[in-house]
Amino acid sequence: MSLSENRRFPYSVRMDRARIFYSDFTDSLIVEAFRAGLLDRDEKERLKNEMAELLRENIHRFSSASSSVSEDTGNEMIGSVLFCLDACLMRFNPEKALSLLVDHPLSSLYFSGVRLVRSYVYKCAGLRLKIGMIGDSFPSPLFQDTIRSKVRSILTHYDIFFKAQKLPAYPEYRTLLTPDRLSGILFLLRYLQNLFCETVFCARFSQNETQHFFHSFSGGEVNFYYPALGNALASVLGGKKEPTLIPSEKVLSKASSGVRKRSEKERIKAISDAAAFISKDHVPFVKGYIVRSTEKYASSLIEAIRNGDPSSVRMIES
Amino acid sequence: MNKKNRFFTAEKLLSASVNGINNDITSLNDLIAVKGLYLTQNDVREVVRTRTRALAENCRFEIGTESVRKITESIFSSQFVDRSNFCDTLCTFIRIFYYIKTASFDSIPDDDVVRLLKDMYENVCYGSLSEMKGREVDMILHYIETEKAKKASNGRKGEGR
Repeated sequence: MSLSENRRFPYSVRMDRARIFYSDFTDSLIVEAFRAGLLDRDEKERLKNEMAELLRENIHRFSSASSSVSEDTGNEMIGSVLFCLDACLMRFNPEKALSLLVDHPLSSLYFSGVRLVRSYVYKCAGLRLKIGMIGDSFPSPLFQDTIRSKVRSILTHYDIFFKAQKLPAYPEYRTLLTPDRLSGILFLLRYLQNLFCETVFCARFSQNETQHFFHSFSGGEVNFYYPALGNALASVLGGKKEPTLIPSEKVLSKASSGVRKRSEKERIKAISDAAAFISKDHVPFVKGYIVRSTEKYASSLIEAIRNGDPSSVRMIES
Repeated sequence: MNKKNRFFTAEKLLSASVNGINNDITSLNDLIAVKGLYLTQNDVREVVRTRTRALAENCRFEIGTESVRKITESIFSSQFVDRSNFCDTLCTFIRIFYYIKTASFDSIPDDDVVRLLKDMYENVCYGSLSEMKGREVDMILHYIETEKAKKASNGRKGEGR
């Protein structure tokens, strides 16, 4: 039976979606399905036994000379198998995911998950190369180090079979929107997508402008997209037709006085409109990121523009 | 999600296969029958209990009974084992086996641990289980020394060539 063929559960019996957590999808789905009466004891036992068999194979793969592992390694292996199962099943709605769990052997779902996770690794490698090419001239040592060596090393040492839910290390350069709720390769993929958007945004400006911008502020170690976004928004609010990374004093004071005159609600609307304007030439994926990050940090951006120094916005280092 | 409510945990997975483990250990009777040995239902229960306790005490995780099978295959042919002490010997070996695996940070393969246990039982303790207890560290040290000696002799052979 292929993954597209599956049994349908009666719509009269519903699972409570609030009890299904995307951070722990397979586990919480089984618990909730059992609670709702969609899964019986025999099915639960079958799933448990199939999981035990998968783990036995993984222990053998881990060390052919040993049939047992330490409890910590065992727990990591369970987490890793569940991560791959989650990756496979999370693509579907809970009802469809449950029918897949019931109709297909756990091992086939697991290996689909492993293939999917591997494809994410390739996607990450592709994104790393793209970001490296686009941001080649950015004079930020931390950014360059993250892209050239850190992410590469993470991808090389990422362990799909035994620690898929964990990354061997985390990138030090931070993006403005951080995928806090994700783990493993899903974290890295979202991180690189965010970094790609930030790099594309900063690379739209001329090289001279970018170089000048990087020399004018010393906070490049944390994140340079944030102050760049602040300057671009201020230049648009200050009346420039095209966003710039180095707005003049006149433009900054015009933006500042414009913001002061408005009410809180109008300020947020103005900054959202400015974000939509500066991102209009980008592809929807990048545009969405610019708008979302502006909306999330609207109050601190407005405050910085009001003070006449939009490039003073800084991410708090953690 | 609360850890208690989770479906797939190490404890639940270990307890799920208890029936399978009972059957696996009962099936060892086919192997040991050639020497006139057998495990009664009570013996099987005792072995399962010892294995579960040893796994928990030594913070280990194992699916199936591969280790118990290896230990049984090794000891049933010993001249010191008979019907009266087979179950006790098996349980003692299981306890020491998992202890050594954890204490050596998994650096000693299963087969070597079993070989060490048998060697100590037959050539040092002469079949006395009470002598075996407390000798785990000796066994690990003995293994390390033997391995060192092996490496050294291999190195010398290499130089000789």
